[in-house]
Amino acid sequence: MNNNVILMLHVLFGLLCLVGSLWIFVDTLHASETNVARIRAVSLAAALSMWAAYAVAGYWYIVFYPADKAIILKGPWPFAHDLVMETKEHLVIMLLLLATFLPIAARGRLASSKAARSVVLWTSGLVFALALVADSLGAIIGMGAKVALLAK
Amino acid sequence: MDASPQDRDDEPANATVSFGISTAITSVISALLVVLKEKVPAIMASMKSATGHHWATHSLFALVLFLTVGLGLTRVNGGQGLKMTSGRLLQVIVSGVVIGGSIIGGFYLFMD
Repeated sequence: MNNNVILMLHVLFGLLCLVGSLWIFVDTLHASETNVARIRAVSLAAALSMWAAYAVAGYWYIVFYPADKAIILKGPWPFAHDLVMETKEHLVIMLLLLATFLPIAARGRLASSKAARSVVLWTSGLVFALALVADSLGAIIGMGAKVALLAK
Repeated sequence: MDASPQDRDDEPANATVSFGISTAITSVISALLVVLKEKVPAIMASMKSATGHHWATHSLFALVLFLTVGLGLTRVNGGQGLKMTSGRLLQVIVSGVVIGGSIIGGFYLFMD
């Protein structure tokens, strides 16, 4: 498969997780017996999306990224790898853990327990924030490669 | 792993508390492993040789730790798990994520 398609799949799955976490947050604010099943289903979907994003990114990172890394390091934005990629590749491990924890937390009694709701609200909020950070860092890495190629 | 009767009032379910704490602990240990592998070449080399890439080994280590700690905590206290209010659990989770993130970001920003 074309490495650009793989990279786009990574972004797509990451965005699905991001949107899913926002959906869970809003749905949990209005949790009742009528939407608990949906919250749990979207929590699982968000976790699976994050796993897919992680697996696809891992494959791309190990197989294709070394060539991009060499280009970035020779360009005007070496920090796009030294700081941004190095930070991102390890921050997303925490994002994967939080996304995996989300469907576990969503199994609580969301309709009747404020405690269960607050854990899901905070976890989905953290997933959303970290996914947004990861997305932004990814954009900087892409720009790092672009400015390096333009400088040639 | 299902919602238990303990999931009432201000006490989240056993699995929620256990894997919430596991998320925090794993986040911090994973961040410390970043510093360790970047500063100790022997550790980086062994992580590379374990799976072919240090990041793959790091990911695998974090997932195994997350599952081990989470499942282990569900079994303590006679299978009842740890008793903890949602407020305290959230403090643990948010602290773990903030500390872990700060270690990673701080390391690559200032120390690497």
